[in-house]
Amino acid sequence: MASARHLLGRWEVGLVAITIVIVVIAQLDGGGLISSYNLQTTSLNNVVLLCLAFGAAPVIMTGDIDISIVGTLSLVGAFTASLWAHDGVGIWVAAILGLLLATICGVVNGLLVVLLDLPSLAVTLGTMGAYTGVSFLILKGSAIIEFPSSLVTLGSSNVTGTPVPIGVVVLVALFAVLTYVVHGTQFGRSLFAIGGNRRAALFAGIAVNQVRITAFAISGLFAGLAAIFYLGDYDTAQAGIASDQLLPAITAVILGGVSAYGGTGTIPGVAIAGVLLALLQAALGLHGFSGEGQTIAVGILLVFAVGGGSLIRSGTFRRLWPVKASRSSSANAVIDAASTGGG
Amino acid sequence: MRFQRTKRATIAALALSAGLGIALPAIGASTASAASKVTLFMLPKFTGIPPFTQADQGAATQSMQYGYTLKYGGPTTASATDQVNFINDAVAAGDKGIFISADNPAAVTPALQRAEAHGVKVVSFDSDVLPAGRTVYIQGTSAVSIAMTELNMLGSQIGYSGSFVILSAQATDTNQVQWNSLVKADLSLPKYKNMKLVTIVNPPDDSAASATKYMQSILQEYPTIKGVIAPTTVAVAAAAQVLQQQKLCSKYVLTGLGDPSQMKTYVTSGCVKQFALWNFSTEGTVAMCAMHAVLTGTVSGKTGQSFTCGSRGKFVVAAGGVVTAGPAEVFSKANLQDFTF
Repeated sequence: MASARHLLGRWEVGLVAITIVIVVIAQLDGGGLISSYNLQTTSLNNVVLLCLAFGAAPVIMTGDIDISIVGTLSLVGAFTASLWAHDGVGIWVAAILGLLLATICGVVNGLLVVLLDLPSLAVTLGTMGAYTGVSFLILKGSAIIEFPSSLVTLGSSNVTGTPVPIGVVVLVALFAVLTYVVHGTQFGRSLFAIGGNRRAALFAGIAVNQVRITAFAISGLFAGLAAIFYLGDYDTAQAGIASDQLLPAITAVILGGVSAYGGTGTIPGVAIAGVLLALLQAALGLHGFSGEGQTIAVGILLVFAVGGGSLIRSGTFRRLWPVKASRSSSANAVIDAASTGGG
Repeated sequence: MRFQRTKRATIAALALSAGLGIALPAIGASTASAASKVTLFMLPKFTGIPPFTQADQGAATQSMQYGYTLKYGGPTTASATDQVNFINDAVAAGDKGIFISADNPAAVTPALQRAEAHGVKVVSFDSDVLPAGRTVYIQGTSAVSIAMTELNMLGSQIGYSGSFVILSAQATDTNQVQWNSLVKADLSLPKYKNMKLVTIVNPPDDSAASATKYMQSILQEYPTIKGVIAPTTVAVAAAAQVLQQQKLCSKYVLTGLGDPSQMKTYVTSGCVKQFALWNFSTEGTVAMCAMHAVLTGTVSGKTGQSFTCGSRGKFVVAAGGVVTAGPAEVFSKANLQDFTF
């Protein structure tokens, strides 16, 4: 499973191809997309989103979902900022305590889902509200701004002497670690086994409960890391902040080839999907597309890619349209492309 | 087999993205033709609501006088992250100035500072950013003007005598707190000495449902009041509906800050005689004049600097880099049809 072919499967190749086409078209028509300023600011503004997406991916691979990540982000942001501003705790100590809290938030989700045998959607819908609610109790509608320069440097400055933001470097490191954990360890294999067939995984001797809880803990931890990035980049902590990042993050995971039913997907796929979505947004924005236009474009991309793949996997397409497959027709070709996401 | 499928997948992906991409040159063409012109970008909190469209029109009309090209766009929902995307795109696209109404003042400021470091000028309007992120802020009208206008609208209808209630928004809304405290202070003036503020009601949220509920309980609890001031567009419309449904329009005077399109029904039926709001078109026009002054170096944000704005005359930068666009606009049956927002 950890073979090179698995990591760079066909789905990812398709995503890279789409990305390249977007870049080429945008560059031919006026450029600006691949300018140093645009790449810097676009990548910075997507660090939080990708961090959330990376964290959510393992949970989705096990067939669960965690939508409380933005609640955790809000809570950890408020908690860390408040420790620093109101209790005189050093910012980095506060950040580490924040990450601890984030992991606890994830474990709480996991325990509720596993021990009470509740649907993860219902549980994390509840905890999303609860975590966000506590962040409102902590900050009471006020904002904390002007964090110490060390945090702002992490969030928004470049590596000395290069045009590369520090946040992006840290994110790449987190990506590498997570890729190893998911695709190079027994724990990672367990994620896919549980997502594929939970009962079979149990009979195969996998500690299903521990693995599922750990996946939620990872999700929480990454939401906490996203919160620290948020404080550093936007230099602001406020309750309910970044609540709009939930759907884009889940979009990146699903477009990245992680099946919403669990059992398949790769972390590199999620990363490429994140880059694709960021570049698509930037290209459309640069060319004067409205917010509505951008939302529609991302929606179309997702429906074509994921909807098509799902149709072909379930065989619905062939039942609905039992014509002898004319392989040259573009409609079939698109569906085929999407179908390769089965992993 | 595997190779073939891969190849097909790649071709299909190309076809799909080409489909998405074909629209790019077509729409991008309009901006490319104006390459020689200075382009400016107006970024509202979110698109699709009339006040910002009005501000855009006001600014666009004025921009023709200066020869600027004004682009307009923004997120579809309130999102600081999305606003930052638009800020970044505007800078990368080579726009020379950004007008912004901030969704979250602090969160968009670092991105604006990066834009400023890149030579882009920033003018905020409607909802300010942190002072570090802009040169000047254009407010639609002053808090003083709002408080005074509210009291005059109510007073003129009740003979400047009798008690009233303020149906406000959440207790944390800084604008509301400021306006209401100015109303309280103004009541000590001789003109308003016979008017008495019974209480200020703060619903727990900004929903129409809450405003309706609180309006109903105000009428039950304080039946002897002469009127209600609702300084939020949500509450004034909800309160008007309550009065109309309970057939109490002739018994109580309702006024406040309202959205003309929302209030049309109640003004036409005579339930509400007067309400006010600032003029978003004027706000946009003055913002464009301010941007021109900033781009040409006349204004750098210092207190006391001034700039002219066509027939609207001279505007002075007040403390904190704030410029007031004009007095509050009072709406009644007579002038309502002139305003489309």
